[in-house]
Amino acid sequence: MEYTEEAKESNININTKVQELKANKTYFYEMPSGNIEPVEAVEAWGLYKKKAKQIGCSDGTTYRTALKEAQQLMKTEGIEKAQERLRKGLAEELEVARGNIEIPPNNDVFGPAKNEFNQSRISKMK
Amino acid sequence: MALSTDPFDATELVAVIPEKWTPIVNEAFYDKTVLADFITDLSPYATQGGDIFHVPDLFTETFSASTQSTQATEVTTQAPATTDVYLTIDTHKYISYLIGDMDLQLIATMYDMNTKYSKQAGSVLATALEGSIAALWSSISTNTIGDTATVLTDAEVRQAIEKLDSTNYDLDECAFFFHPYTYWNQIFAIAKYYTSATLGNVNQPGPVMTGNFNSSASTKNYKGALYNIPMYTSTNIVSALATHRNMLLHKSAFGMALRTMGGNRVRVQSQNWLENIALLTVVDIIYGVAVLREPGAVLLNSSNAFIGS
Repeated sequence: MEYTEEAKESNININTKVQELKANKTYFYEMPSGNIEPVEAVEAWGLYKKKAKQIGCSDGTTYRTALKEAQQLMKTEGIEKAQERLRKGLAEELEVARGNIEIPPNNDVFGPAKNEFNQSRISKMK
Repeated sequence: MALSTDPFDATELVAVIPEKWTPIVNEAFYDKTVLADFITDLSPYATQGGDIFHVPDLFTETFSASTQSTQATEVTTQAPATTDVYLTIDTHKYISYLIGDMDLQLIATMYDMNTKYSKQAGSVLATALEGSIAALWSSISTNTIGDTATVLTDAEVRQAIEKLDSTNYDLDECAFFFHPYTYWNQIFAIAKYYTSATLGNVNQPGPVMTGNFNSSASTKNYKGALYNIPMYTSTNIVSALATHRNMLLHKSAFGMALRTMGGNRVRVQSQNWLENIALLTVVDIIYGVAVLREPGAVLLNSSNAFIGS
């Protein structure tokens, strides 16, 4: 058997399932660590209540574009380029969001009066 | 020769072919409660009232060993500062619905809709509690592993354990919480976990056969142990921009307190509401969650842009 010092070909594939990679409204908040991280609406409401500093919000489409490009890069140039594209995509999404401050939807009340979230579909029964 | 050229068909018999409603109802599925069952529960201290519950931090500032350079001299005393850590019960969520009396009477008796919907509402609120606990990942800053552009690796799993082991946390009081995506698409792709050379006891079926790591309760989302640390999956593990925020937690890291009236996590109340001639049902939960010991949590980022194969 041939011996090599080089790392084996990575057994990692790109996830092409659209439902898991759909663009969602994304809020960027400054976390206690000082890092700026993306969160979705439900979590953003919790951070808003804690008076965390919001950096901005965006629709997630910039990152989705990066995901699609990463899929192509994975095929042509390998995983490292794909990962690099994803990291760049996150930074690009942040720049799109920056300054676009928006209060996240209230997630504290489910039911007919506050029907912001799909979880409250139960309220359709009247 | 055909007996007849005009046999009955379904169109002509439509008036006598019944439609049947089966007693089977496809109810919504909700994930099991795993985080709330694991973390520190301060609810017993809330039974006599109170909104803020303090858990003093004596670990940030600790004693250090002194040396007496000259025998019989005065000792130097130490008074390390304490840190106030607290949890506030500040969340009250509810679901309400109203069914008119006539509708209620007309619904087929085999469908106990009020029970089914109150059960569903209870599950939604229990999920809200789990989601609030999972959202505490954003307060983890001391121990963060992984990247928003990489899959979870065995090295990262071991690094996470090492973070807590190196700071003297009792590993018997820790547990992993992974999103099912991470568990099935990334952890199960780590060859070391299923190849016979590293599997351990050859007389036991391995994870490829059982779908878990020697779990005795996989139906409750307990997926067995990884490096002797219990591993749970939860769909409430937070995700944003294709990154899951999995966690390794010591049980003291996060806390919760419930003050739902009635003593259960979720309260269900139904009442005949005369004003509307209807049955009003309100399901609610009162709780608070907080990070009690931040260094006791490890954040394990994993990108769901990738699948291990």
